[in-house]
Amino acid sequence: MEISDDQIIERTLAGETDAFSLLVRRWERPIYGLSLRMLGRDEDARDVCQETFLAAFRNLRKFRGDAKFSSWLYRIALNACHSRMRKRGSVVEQSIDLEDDDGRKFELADSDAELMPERMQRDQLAVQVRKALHALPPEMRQVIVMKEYEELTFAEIAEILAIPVSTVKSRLYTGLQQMRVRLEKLRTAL
Amino acid sequence: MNSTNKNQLACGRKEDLVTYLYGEATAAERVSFERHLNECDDCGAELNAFGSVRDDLSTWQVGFAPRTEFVPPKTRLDVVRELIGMFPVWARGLAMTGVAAAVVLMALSGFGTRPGISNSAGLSEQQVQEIVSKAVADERAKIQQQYQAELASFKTQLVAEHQAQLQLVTAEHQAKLETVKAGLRAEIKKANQQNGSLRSFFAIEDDRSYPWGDSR
Repeated sequence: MEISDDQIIERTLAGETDAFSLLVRRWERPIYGLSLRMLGRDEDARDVCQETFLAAFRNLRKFRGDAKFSSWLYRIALNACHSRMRKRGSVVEQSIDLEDDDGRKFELADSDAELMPERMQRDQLAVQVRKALHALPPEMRQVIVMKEYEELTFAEIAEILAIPVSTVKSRLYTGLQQMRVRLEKLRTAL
Repeated sequence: MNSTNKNQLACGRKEDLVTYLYGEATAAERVSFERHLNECDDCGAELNAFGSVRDDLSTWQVGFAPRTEFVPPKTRLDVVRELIGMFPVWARGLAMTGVAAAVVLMALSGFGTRPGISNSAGLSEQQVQEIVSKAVADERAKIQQQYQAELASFKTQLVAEHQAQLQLVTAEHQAKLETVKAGLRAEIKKANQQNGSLRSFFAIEDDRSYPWGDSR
């Protein structure tokens, strides 16, 4: 049976600091994914990942356990993302990584979409999604990222952001509307 | 009515719509909203459009996550402990002596001790010096004791290791000796057997005298 997050936390607080690495292995992928989609740059996402786990380790005694550890971790990561966005300002939106997982650069301009292989069309669409997502205000972007990619429930998102569930739904609705408009514009521009 | 570019649906059920869209509606909510969809074209259109947006969003997948190198940060106490551990026991003791002396001096200097004048604690400079000297002597004795104990422990350890090595070497030699002995016994037995065969072949009596005067 897999050891729970709470058990690992107990072990860490009891002095077995290496046990915390289990939590890092378990949650590094979601935290990296969240950070990458919030910030758009691999380098920033890696840094936020490091900062998040370091902050969680340092403040582990403050974690009360009335919320899920993952919610607490997501909150720390989002705070780190917001802090980074504030520091970099609008530069972030202009410097989104336009590479896929294999490091290939996406090419946006293509004259004939029908002739494009399916993968390439999909890649181009992914670029449009990145651009549209990063053009959204952060409060809408984070809700879409948590709901769509991290598959958190409305209640979990509300807990992480410390806002009512109705606000989460409202932001998601508006965010999806804006995404639709932006994606349509990007498609028309091609 | 077309609500595409508006922030609100005329029916006011945008929250119900996203709840339904993401499959978080209860059975009753689902039935209620599906009934509403039959009547509200705006919600139907919005639902389809959002479905397409979700399909588009799904094209951005993060295939891998880089490994996060996490090393638990050291506390200040850990750093001090490591620093202390780097020094031999006598150095640690010396430092402690220094600290002890400094503490005593600082504590007493607060009373405004001057040569020949008693301070508010009723101690003269000579008495202070005596106290400091005693503290230093006590600390030195303690260090010496600790050093002797470490030395004795080291000696015991050394003797034990030496004994163990000695036993090991003796056992190895004994084993080799036994092997050689066993080999020699086998050789002698073989030679005796050959000797006996030759004698019986030539029908030599055991008690015959040899020409060179040796008899068996």
